[in-house]
Amino acid sequence: MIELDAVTKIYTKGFFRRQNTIAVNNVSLRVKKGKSLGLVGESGSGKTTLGRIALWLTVPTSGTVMFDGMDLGALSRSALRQIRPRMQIVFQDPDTSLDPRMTVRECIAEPMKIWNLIKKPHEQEDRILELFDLVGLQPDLVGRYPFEISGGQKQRVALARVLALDPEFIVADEPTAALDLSVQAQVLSLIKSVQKKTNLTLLFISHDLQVIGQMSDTVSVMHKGAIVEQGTTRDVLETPKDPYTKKLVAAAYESETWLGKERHQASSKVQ
Amino acid sequence: MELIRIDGLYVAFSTRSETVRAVDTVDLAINEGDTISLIGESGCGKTVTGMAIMGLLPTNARITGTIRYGDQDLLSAPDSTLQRIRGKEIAMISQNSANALNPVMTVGDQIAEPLLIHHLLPAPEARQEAVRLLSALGFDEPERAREQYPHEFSGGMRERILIALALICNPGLIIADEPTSGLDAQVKSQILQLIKKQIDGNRTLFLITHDMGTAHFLCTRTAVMYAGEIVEIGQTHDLLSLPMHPYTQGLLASLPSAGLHPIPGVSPSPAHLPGGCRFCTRCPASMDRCRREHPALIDAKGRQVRCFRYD
Repeated sequence: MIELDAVTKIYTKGFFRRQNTIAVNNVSLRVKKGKSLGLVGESGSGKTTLGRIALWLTVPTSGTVMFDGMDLGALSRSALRQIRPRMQIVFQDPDTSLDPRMTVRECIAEPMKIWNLIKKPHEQEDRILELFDLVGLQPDLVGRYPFEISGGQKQRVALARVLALDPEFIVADEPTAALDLSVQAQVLSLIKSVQKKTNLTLLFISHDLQVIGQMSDTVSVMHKGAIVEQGTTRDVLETPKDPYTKKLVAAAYESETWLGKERHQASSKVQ
Repeated sequence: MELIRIDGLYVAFSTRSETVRAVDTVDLAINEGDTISLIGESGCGKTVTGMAIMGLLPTNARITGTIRYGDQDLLSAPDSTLQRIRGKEIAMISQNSANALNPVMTVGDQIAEPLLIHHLLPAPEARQEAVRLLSALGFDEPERAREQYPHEFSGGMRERILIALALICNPGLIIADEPTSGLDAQVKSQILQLIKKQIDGNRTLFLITHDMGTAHFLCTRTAVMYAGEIVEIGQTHDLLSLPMHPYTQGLLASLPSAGLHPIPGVSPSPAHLPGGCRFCTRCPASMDRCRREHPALIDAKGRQVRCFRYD
């Protein structure tokens, strides 16, 4: 479905004394249709840049991105525009990704209007309520403004807006970074169930290995702009090979080893 | 020995149309040398509780109850008393290192400032003390760091600066409000180890967090807060391994490592709290009684829990 080949992105600053920052260094990865790839790394490792490149929102310095057999770099502007609705992004922070002056209804209707998906006026309302149902929002929230709803609800609205176009590929860039634990669990299980229902292809970006472990079929670990390890989620999390991945896995599970251990004790006590 | 005793703390904020009950009748005793954490989700009232101890609530807050500290009540003490205590005896590691520091003051001056305000050391010695502390907190070039501004540091280093600010006057009680939010797993683990080392044995820690791993690492006791109330309090280890309150159970099941099983529904708005148990609309085990009566915090199996199932 989506295939990145030897992608590199270099940011240059300074005019006289040029300084290069290699944000993404020779990265190749692919996600099969209906599958989910988890991209994990610490802040500054280049994972957001890579996510944007996968959607051609950032143009790489070199390398190619293939989407459904098309080379995004070779497409004309108008051809690229035509496939935009098929690939979408869910941003980190719904506070900054939703327009504060639009009601939830306007916000979800906007992409449908732009793409002329609505033929009759009542269709729009029906479709919005259908999307509301899909992401688990109460229908009475439709007239509210973003500041009138909670963080979890906002992220559901952002997801409904993206799903309004029936995309085939979604980049989710730390979609729960701004959310509480129980709300994170709600939104993540929602994304999982929507992915199953609509056979979405998902590039899931996170710094949390535990979340990736729940969300993806395969994992790519990014460090300083390069992929240091990739494989099935199970293999990477259970038998990491690269020293950096080992460190990440240890850090992620160290804080919660108490849980596993004590759970075990607790269950043996019950027996 | 009892260091702080919070009795019936109630904090409300009034807007034109409604009253928001942020903290509702919280009782909590903190002994000297305790490490206690208050966990809960955003809006549950945990930060407001910390701010009440520091006397830092905004002027539109309506506060009742008492917070005994020594022979004073921090809630009714005059500003001059609070100013003498704040920073010197009770200090805070505030959340969000990007906004908590003064952007136009060098790091060294900021860290030395509390020493000067409380007249603990003359300026040259205060500066030396700041450098010594920076070095102890992991700055390789403390002399250079002293002259730098907050924006020149990463999030993890800024967090260390906030810790230095809290420790500089050698306070007995530290209130840490989400000290590791926004940090990567590795940096987070470094900062937690640093805090643990600084607290160990000779200080009291009151930690505010939403992260159960952090609570488990730093604190022997934990209180779980939901919709302004404490719903469960006990030894951290016991509480997290065998949670009793349905909300605590739900929180643990929401962890990615436990398989991401969400609690249905959303927390009630603190302006429109349900009449009976505040968790009853989301609780898988709710009974008729839960909708009619409001449960009290009762003793059960060596801890306290606010649930009729243990009545």
